[in-house]
Amino acid sequence: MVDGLIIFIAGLGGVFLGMALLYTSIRVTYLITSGFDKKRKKND
Amino acid sequence: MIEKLFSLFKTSGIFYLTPGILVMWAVAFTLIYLAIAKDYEPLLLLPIGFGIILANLPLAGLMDPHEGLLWKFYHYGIQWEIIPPLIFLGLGALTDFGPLLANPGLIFLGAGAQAGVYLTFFAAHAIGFNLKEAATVGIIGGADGPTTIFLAAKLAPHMLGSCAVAAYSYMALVPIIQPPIMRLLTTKEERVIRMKKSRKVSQLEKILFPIISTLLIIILVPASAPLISMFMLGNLFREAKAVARLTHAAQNELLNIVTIFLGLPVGATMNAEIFLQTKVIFIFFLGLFAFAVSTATGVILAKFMNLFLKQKINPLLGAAGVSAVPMAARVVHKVGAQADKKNYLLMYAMGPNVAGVIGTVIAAGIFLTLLK
Repeated sequence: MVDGLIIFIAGLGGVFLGMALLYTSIRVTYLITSGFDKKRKKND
Repeated sequence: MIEKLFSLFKTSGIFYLTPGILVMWAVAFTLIYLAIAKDYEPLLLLPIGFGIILANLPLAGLMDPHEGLLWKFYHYGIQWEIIPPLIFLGLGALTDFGPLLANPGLIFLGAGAQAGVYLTFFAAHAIGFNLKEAATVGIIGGADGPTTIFLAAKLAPHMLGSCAVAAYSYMALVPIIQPPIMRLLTTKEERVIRMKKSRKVSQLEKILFPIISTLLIIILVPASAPLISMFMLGNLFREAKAVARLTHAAQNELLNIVTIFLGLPVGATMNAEIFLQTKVIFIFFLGLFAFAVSTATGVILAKFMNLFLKQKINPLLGAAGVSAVPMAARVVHKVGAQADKKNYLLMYAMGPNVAGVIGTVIAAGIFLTLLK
């Protein structure tokens, strides 16, 4: 039962951590690519 | 001569029919009926149903280890982890991450729905399933057939058939299971909330996402690598727009072929001795519980997020975190449209819907890491 509880907490925590990392990566990618797009438009 | 005729009869399967085999034929006919007449996940339930018939033919030996045809499909396709990742390659090529990239905050709804997986895991363990079996039952709540099969083949192969049938059956029943829970947990005012117009997602973002997410997820949960790597490769094919032939092949020919070789051996694992046990009833009950809880936790998380957000999100979107793509997203749109017929939630719901797929694969990877 204790093992089950540990897996429950670690598992759900791991899923949220994975999603938080993905969220951060999406935001960072957006910031980088939007900066890249602005620079390209300026050059055009 | 009469003796020869008698020995011929003895080598036929008629003498080896048992009540259990007849029950399995009834189960198979039910699945085939549901697939053909009711259109319930026909691509999988039809070959699974036929596989059950083939596995329950006395003396046919199609599942005999090292000899039987279906055993070879099962061993080299599923136990060797080839077919589920190939299915994911095709699914990746069909998936548009645009809605998710436009509204990245909705990614957490895909995680919220995984609470159903873990609550069901805990419930299954509490009623007597061992940890590996409980994980296999819990993952049904992720509403992702190939992931369920992938995990079951590794942790509890004796439950593979029943868990796969439960997952695909409930996926077909999403339009019936989800709406009452969604209405119960939301008010009319919440259901009519309109989402902010999504920003345009650049092609460069769409190309970078599968690469970056592969790196992050596999570094965090290496056990998820077979599924995530193929899923993101398929998506990279799609978004790169440089390999149209490969994208088309992954979306069509490959996906169709591996679907056949997935369904047949999964059905063939369901022989009477394995399937006709009281545990199977619990698997189906817990599978339904998992779907219901995943729906509820997704909606509840969306409501919780609204406590902190200036621009409120429609809490119905939480139900799309259950990764039955695109069925769960369509259900969200339909329930939203019943409250306000001009409220178009489908594209927004696709975000948590594909996030749910990723969440379920991460959940399966964590189970594998902790239990294998």
